[in-house]
Amino acid sequence: MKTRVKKRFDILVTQANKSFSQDFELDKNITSVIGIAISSDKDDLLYFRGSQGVEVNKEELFPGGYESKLLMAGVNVSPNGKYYQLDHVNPGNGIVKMVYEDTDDGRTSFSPYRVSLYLDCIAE
Amino acid sequence: MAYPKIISHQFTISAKGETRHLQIRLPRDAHRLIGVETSIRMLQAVSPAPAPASFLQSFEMAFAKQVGTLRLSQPGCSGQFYSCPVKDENASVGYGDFSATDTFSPKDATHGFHRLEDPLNVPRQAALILGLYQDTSFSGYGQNLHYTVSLHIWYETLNPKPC
Repeated sequence: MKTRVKKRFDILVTQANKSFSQDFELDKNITSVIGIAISSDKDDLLYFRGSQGVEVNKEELFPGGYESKLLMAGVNVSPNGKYYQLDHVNPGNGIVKMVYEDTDDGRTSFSPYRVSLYLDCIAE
Repeated sequence: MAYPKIISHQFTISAKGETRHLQIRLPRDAHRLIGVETSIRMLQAVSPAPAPASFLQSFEMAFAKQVGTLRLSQPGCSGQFYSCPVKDENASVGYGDFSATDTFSPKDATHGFHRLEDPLNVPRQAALILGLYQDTSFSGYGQNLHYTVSLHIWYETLNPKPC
């Protein structure tokens, strides 16, 4: 029986103007990835400073430099609409790679923050 | 079956009224252009858009400040297939929102809606996309701005996805 599951992967951003790359592994029973969202414990830092590249099974979903603000959804968005729809991405080897880059923006001051990548998946 | 992909291009603006000519090479497997997204990042200190200070002020519409205009075309094709102002964060995200408290007020980072690409349906006619960006930020900010513009072009490829 197919079920919808949400997977969350965290990256800690501890230094300004640095790239943070991390590989995550999806559960073996996940058959497709249908949505993506990004969030943080400090939304303003993620919004102004963040950009990331995301790959699933070595297939690039978003190139490096794609701003985090383009994947964020605030409290005004319905919970059912917070995820950016993907076209049933095959997880393949189940490896999700995110390269997150923090870049100075004149409207913020850096302090360490957490970036969370959420994937909306279908599992058997 | 067509699959969407993105190519990104960044450039920096540092002078009032600066004009930048762009040439973006399309991948060989790009079949059709299906969307454009733009974003800016300030490289100098700029005050963020203020949140409404009171319940009554939340009913005052504030317009997002325009920082420039972007036009895109393809060689060999007359005219432009895309022309749009490039704007900063949404200044009216708190319009009609009276949920603000002393510690949590409407901002684009916390209350913003999904930002989706401007949809296009432009067949690939050439290997390049030509672009023209012109800075118009002085009229909105009253000062010279130093910022980076990111341009993300969505396209379709007919190559099969990896298994």
